[in-house]
Order: sequence, then C-alpha cells, then structure tokens
Amino acid sequence: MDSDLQSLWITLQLAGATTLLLLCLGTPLAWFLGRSQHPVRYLLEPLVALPIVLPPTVMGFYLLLAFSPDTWLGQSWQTLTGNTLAFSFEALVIGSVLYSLPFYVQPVQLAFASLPKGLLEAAATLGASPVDRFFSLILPLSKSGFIAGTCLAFAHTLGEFGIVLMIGGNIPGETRVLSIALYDHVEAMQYGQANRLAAGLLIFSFLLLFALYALNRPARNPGPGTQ
Amino acid sequence: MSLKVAVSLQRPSGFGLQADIEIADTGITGIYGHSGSGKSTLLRIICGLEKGAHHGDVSWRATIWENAGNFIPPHQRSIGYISQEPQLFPHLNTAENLAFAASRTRSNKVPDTDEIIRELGLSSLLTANVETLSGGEKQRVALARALCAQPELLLMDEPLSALDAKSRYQIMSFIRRLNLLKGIPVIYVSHSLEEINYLTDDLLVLEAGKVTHQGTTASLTTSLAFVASVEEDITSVLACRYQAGDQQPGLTRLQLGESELLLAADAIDTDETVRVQVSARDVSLTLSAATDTSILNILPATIEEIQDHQAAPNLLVKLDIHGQKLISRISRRSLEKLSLSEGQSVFAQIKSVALLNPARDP
Repeated sequence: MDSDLQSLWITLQLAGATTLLLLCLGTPLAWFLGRSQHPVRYLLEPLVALPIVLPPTVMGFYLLLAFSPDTWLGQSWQTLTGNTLAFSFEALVIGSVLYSLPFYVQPVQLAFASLPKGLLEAAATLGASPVDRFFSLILPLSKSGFIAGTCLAFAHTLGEFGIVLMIGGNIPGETRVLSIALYDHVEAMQYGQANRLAAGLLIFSFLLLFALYALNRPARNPGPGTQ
Repeated sequence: MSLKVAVSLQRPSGFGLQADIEIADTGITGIYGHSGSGKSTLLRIICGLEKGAHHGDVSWRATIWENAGNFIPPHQRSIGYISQEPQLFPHLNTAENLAFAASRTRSNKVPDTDEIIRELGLSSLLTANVETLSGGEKQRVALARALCAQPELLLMDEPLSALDAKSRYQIMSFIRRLNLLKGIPVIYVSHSLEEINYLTDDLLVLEAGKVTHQGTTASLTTSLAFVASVEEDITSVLACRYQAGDQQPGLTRLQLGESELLLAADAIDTDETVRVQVSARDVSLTLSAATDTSILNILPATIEEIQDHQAAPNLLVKLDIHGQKLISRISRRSLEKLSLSEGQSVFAQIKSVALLNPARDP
C-alpha cells in the first residue's frame, strides 16, 4: 500500500509537470495553428495529432532510441545534468508532453481559431498592445478551451501506460506510475489491490470529465439564443 | 496639419489600391465608393490594420505612422475605429467595455466617461450584457467606447449600414455635434449619398481602387460628372430657412432665397438651417410657371449645365436657384421638345421634398 501511495504521488507530479509545460509550450503552438496561414501549419497539424492514432509503444520506442546516451539528445542531457535521460522521471515528462500534446493543443487551438478577428482589431485600435490583448481579451474569451485542454491533458497523462513502460521502465519512487503499479498487482495476482487502483483512476477520471462538461455548459448557453 | 496617405497596394486576387491624398484634420471627410472600390481598405491602412500588405507613407499631423522603415502599430496610433460590426467585447458589460477603452487612452487627459454616457443615452444600459442590446444600442456603445479612448481622429467604416433610419439619424446627429463641439476630425466611409450629404464637409470618391474625385461635399454632390457616375438615386440638398408664422398643420413653409418651398410635414420650430433633399427624378422643367397643376413647388431657375451622354435616354440638368444647386433628370425627348440650353431661365417643378434633418430626439 505504501508503494501504491508513492506511485500516486509520482503520477500526480508527472501529470502536473506535463500540464504546466503544455500550458507554456502548447499555447503558442495552438495560437500558430489556430490563427496563422503559414504553410508550415499544414505540416504541424497532423504531427501534433499523431499521438491520438499511434500506439504509445511506437512513440515510446523512438523516444527510447532518442534518449539513449549515445545520441545527441542523450549526450547533451548527460553533460548538462550528470544523469542519463532514459528511465528517469524527466524522460517521462518529455514523453508525456509529446503524448498529451494533442489533448491540450486541439481544444485551445479551436478556441483561438473561433476568436473574431474584428474584436482583436477593435482592442488594438482602443490602445491595447499585443500582450495586453492576450490577457484582457484572448484569455477570457478562450477560457473554455483552456479549461478543456488542461483537464484533458492532465487526465490523459494520469492514464498513460505504454509510453511510460518503454521509456521509464518500472522503477519504484522514480518512474513507477499508477498504471504500471496496477499492472504489477495484476501480474502478482493481487486483484484486491489492483481493483483499488483501477477503481480510483476510473472514478477520478469520471469526476474530472464531469466537472469539465459542467464548467463548459454555462459558457455555451448565453450565446446568440438569449436575445 | 492633416492626414497624408500615399499608398499603393496590389493583392494577388487582382484587387489594387492607389491613393495619394491629403485629408484635413478638421471637419468630417467622407469616403464614398461602391463595394469593392477600396474605401474600407484605405481606412484600414490609416488604422494600421493592414500591415505588410502594402507599401506607402501615412502620416498624421506631425507624426509618421508609416513609411519605408517605420510602422506604428494600431495601438500606438491615436485613433478611434468603428466598423459596421460594433465589435463589443462579449465577456464585459457596457460599462466595462467603456472602461476598457478609458483605461487605455493614449491622451494624458482623463476621459469624461460620464458625459459620453449621457450624450449617447447609455445610462440605463451600463450593466447590460452587450449581447442583449439592439443593433442601434450596440453601435452607440461602440461609438462611446471609441470616444472613451480619446482619439485624435475618428475613423468610421459604414457604421450605420445595419441600422434602421431612426437609429441612423440619432447617431449621425451625434457625430455632427461631436465634430462641432469637440473638434474631433472624422473620416466617414459610406456608400450612401444620404449619409454623405447629411454628415460630411469634404468628400473623396473612390472607384476601382483609385481616387476619382476630391473636393467639398457641396461642390461634388452637385457636380454632374460625379453624380452621373452614381448608381443610386441622385438627390440634391437645399438649405432653407424656416418661415415663422402662418403655418398650416401638415405643411411647412420654408424660405429658399426669395422663393417659398412647401414641405409636407408638421411645422418644425427651429432657428437652424433646414436642409431638405430632392430626388432628381422628382424635378421636372417647364418654360412657363404652370398654374393648372397639382404640384405645389414651382421655382424659377437657371440651367447651369446639361450632362449629355449621347446614347442615354435620360440626362441630368443642373439648375441654379438663388445660388443653390438642384439636379433634375429629364428625358432626351423633353430636352429636344423644349430646346433647353445652358444659361436658359426655366421653372423647376418639384414633386416632393423630404427633410434631411434628423428626426427629433426620442
């Protein structure tokens, strides 16, 4: 039970770090995909969506190769931090960011794309600088997209399995997340403990999605229909 | 001191805009043209909303807004921009929309938000969700919001085209007052000659991306070369004085020079000049003053100019009535039958006269 709590703690840390990184990195990406007409966008869009259709093991396999100490990435990481990248918590974070990318980027991108250009232009002519426009207009008007993206990315990272197993292994206290711990219990025929973790994940994920839909409901109603 | 714009733009779609203009920094300047003539694009260039799409120079008074090496972004230009859509921020109520602008003013004075709210009649709408307002209310809030930012120059792109006549005149009379009292220069884009006639002092006409006419509104709207190119109904505006005393209900006597003009409307009590508009179709010409006619308004006039397009069955005649210009549309057959020529004295029969002044305040 003690090790299960440890796994829960690691899982929450992983999901939290992943979500924070996605907020920082995924937001500009979503802006580019949602608002730019640059041709690079047509290449990036399917790339971002890939994790939705690929088996996690495919991504995990290539990330494992990229993280090994004899690659450029693995080597620079080792000189910078002194540790190997593969089978570390940091490797899990990188993998999760890539794997959960579409779950954050797509709702935010959709919210950005549906922002009326005229509103942003009006704000500009009223004296709002680009940064000002982001915080005073874009952020509040895209609120539902941000909430959806954040919840989905967090929930999706909680349930990650295949990619974790490939690049993180199963190191207690370092890379053993809830889904791996659950797998271990099943392997060891400890169905009672497995059930506790499985039911916990199930209920938490449901509650999160329930809250997400509830939050988005009032934002949908006072639309054009209220006149 | 003025607004100077010298731009040349070519879009891949084939649309082009070439303009080299100077617009006075006082009064209201109209930009007139059909859709696709480039008038909105010209206005957006002045705002700085068309970055990267064109090459040229834009300067306002002593400030360069744009030239070969500089581009001042819209939020640093002291402008107010109002488009056809009010573009109110949906997550803010009316008062918050106004405060958004007031807190970002580029002037060092504190904006008198209360006065703007009073002038535009928004007191009862301050806490309203802006999405529930009517079209006219929304546009009034948009105008108030632009004014709260205290612009040095107000740019309006067909702001009234989606509104009903009453809201239109309400807002137009406010814009006139604003210009008169506060001296805020306005550039007003429109494809409605009625709005142009009512609002503007100067006029710029765009056609297919090129400036075809520029001058005072009064001289352009009575220039046959310009009005002949206008597809909509041609109207002339006459400035009259209200005649005190002896008014009948439903009929107002107006003084036009030494002549009298009857207007089918209840008497309006005003010392101001009353401006009326007359459609060119409603003006016919006779050589003698007919007495056996139902037409009330028969005025002596002099033919100043005859616009003669060889092929057209109808032609335009510009008349002078006590120094004011009235345009008549007659058929070529009538011209030949009466053998009219420039400089000739005739009588203009006016079938109907409409008031151009705004409806009274509600």
